[in-house]
Amino acid sequence: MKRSILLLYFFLMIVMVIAIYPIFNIFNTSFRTGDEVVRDPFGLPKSIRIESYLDVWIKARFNKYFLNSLIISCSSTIITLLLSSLAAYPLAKLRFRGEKFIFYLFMVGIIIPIHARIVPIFHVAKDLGIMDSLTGVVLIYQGMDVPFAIFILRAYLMGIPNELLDAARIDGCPEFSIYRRIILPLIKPAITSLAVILFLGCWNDYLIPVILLFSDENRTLPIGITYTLGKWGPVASSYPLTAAGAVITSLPIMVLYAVLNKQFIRGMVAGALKR
Amino acid sequence: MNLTKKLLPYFFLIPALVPYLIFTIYPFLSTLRLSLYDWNGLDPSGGSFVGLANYYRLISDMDFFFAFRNNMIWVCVFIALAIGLGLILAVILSDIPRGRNFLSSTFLLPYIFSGPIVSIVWLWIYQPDYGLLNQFLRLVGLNNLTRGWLGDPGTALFCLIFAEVWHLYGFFMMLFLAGIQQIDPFLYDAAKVDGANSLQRFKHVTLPSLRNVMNTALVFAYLWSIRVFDIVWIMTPTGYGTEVVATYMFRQVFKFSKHGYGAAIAVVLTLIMLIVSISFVFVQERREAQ
Repeated sequence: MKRSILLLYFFLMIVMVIAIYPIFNIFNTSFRTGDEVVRDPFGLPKSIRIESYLDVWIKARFNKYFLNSLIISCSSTIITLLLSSLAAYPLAKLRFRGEKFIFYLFMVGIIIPIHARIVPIFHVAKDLGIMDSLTGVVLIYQGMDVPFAIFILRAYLMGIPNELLDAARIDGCPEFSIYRRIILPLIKPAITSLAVILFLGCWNDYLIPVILLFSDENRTLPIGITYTLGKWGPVASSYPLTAAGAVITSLPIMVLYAVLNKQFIRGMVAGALKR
Repeated sequence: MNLTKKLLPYFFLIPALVPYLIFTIYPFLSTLRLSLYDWNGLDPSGGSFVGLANYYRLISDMDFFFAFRNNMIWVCVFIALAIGLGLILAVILSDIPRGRNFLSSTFLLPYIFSGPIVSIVWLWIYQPDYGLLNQFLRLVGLNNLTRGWLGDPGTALFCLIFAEVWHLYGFFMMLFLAGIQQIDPFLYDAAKVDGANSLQRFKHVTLPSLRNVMNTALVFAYLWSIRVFDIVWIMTPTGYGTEVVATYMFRQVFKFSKHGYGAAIAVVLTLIMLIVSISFVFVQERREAQ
């Protein structure tokens, strides 16, 4: 009995090494020199060297990419939450003509994969003159994320008793105040989980920025890091730079994951729909 | 007064509807239309109408067939490895006395990374000269196993699948872990009383109870494998030996400017996705009705 448990832990340790070592390796490499990495790939840094970070942050303009990623992810998340919570309210709680139709129309957006839209999105962006602009990316994220967010928020709102809203209506409270004073505070837990999912989705997205953003000025982190791959001279000596870039790219989401672990795991299955 | 009240719900809906119609519904309809045209993406006339010619061409396109075959291999291997590993880990984690939350959070870590980061991590591991995999093989004296993992068409596809399994298995583990925690512990006690060993308990209690969770897992694993794009695109930019349907579509559109043909590939890809996922939902609902 005791031995079998030990065996299980041993197996888990092996899986853990495979899960963690590649991530640890980026951190490790980012503090070493290219020579060290080539000579002894599994070694630890001789000293904590932050030159790679400074080079990447300033010379390779990751400060700009970081800012772009932050602007796009934050504004998309906030606007999506705003638009979808507004739309979810009537879809869950009000009766009106075309209610079913509009709901199913939104659900089409969840079912149809991004691949079936990507080519025209490129042309729409061109026609609207929003190519190579952060605003364009944010707008496209609205179109992509709103149905998913509505789906989650509507389901959550359905669980809120109608009596609460009716009482407010009898007191003469206008619908918009009901939304602002009753609905929004009530759906706060759903909003937090959703915010984590949406932010992560925007921060990690590769497909939309890669077709829309082409000037160096406007790149986001995922585009910046792949663009610079192999552009820093011989593979080995550019390792620490790429590693530092990868750490800068993923540190914010690792922090988010550590701090909001519960929300993240709670919203995971819902978030998988968006992946 | 009455009119404003009637129109009110639409005021709530319009801000979300506008970007949605422009950036999701219109592009989707536009893809359907575009798949019937021959267009280079620049010609202001919008190209010429060719009917189903793009689809006919697809049937006899050996490169597409190759990409499709790779994609099917991807689906099978990914489902087997990611779901298998996820299930094994979930069963073990639900069984151990200590460290479940810590270990499951750690195992889930790769899942939060983006495709580009996962690609970078694994590009280094597979790099022929300094890559960790070859270095490790040399270290343990298996020099004859070293190779250019991603340059060799015999191993490249599997190396990519393995990277994607590493990226996503944590999701399936969490899914199964939540499913196992829903199982009535009484069922296990009853099985123990009947003298079932742990393998029998897994086969007769755990697996049947996880049927719905398994269904969900299969749908996600299928959808993620059939639409896989970024790690293939970034890790093997030439697509030599690793082309899948999504990268083939992307190449046709953005490298060869065949926008109509690319749209036809996108439509076929969507159909392949929808048929399977809708039938899964259908099967699940019928089973629940029984």
